[in-house]
Amino acid sequence: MNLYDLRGASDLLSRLDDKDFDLFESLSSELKLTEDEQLFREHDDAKRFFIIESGIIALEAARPAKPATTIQTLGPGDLLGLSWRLTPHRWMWTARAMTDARLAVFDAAIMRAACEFDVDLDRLMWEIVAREASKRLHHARLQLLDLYGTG
Amino acid sequence: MVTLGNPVRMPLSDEPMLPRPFAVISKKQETFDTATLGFEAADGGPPLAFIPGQFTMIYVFGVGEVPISISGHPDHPEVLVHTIRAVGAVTNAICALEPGDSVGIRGPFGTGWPNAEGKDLLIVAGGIGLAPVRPLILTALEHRYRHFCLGLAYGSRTPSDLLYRDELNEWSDAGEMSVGVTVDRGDQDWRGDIGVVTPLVKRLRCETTETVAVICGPEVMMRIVARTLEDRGLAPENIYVSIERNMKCGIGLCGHCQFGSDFACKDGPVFPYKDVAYRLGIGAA
Repeated sequence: MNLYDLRGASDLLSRLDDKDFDLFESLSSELKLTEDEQLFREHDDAKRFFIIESGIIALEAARPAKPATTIQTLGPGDLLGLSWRLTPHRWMWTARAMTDARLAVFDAAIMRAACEFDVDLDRLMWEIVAREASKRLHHARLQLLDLYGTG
Repeated sequence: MVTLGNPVRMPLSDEPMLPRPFAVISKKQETFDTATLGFEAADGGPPLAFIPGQFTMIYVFGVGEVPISISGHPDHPEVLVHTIRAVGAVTNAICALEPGDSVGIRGPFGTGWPNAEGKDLLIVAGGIGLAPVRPLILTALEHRYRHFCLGLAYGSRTPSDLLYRDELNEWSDAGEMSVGVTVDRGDQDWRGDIGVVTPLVKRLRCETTETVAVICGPEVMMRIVARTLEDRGLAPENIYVSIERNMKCGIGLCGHCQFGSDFACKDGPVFPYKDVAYRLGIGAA
């Protein structure tokens, strides 16, 4: 799968016009992960962000003297990494591959520079990140309701 | 745009208030609190023919009677299959039954899932809500040619709360149906999705203007999923939900299950979402 195949499934890619899509395509590289491989670690510098092509990636919270807890998983088409856009550009969670996975990788510094240069792209990226953050907050709140416990 | 109209209905039996004796012939413990039981008519009468989505009233002698959705194959009604979660006195008593024990059963009652032949079929279930859609899944798989796309998104509390685990794997592995499963909380062995069910819906890629969506689970979940599907272009007319209320008589007489201007036992449990959206908290003034 390449970025063209992902375009329909990705909220980010589907919102790019052809010019911006070509920019993303030219700046992307591919990364393969094997099951259990750690992609990034909580509080490390957020130097990259990703769009998942295949596989499942877990966002984990470390706990002292206990196994990490998976807060949420992301799958094909999902944007992985929001912290690259928000100062201080440090990951809030650890990301680990739950299955073998393939990702499109983008360099955060280059993308931030592209956004500084293009105000429309900058606005779009803010909107996409804000929408994604809002969606994940909504999902986290729903999980807190423990819906399935009562029927 | 496809509009299918009302859920499927079938006539009541001649004596809908009279329980028939049934014997438990099989039992499978699905989870710590949920069991699937097979029942066979013990009066020599015909099996209970039903349509997917309907329910029966199961009477445990000396304990009480509860509505339970049918979860077996409608083409094989000779064994009446119910999956029951033990949450109260009667359901605890049902889950404690063993092969050879007897119960009284009335029904089947209520409306069934729509006939989606020739359309894409997207099924979204949460928790015990997988049981009422299992007959629909079994029918759709047996007549797979009737649907271009067939997808199931299923959400559960934890991996140990998943129903029909073997079947979920079979349905997925057979490649006849796109299956997505997610849990609110994983465990060390879980290698699947964690989170709410709505992202799975998107991933199944089974949403078109020709898609019929069937949703069964907690009402908050149904409301959120229906709204998500609407946002993604599905017509409310093609979205169906199953509403549970305190069904007692099963024929719309006693009023215990009144749901606005409807009775859940007679006018439901399957409703077109467009008819109940406001009652689920959407579009309320």
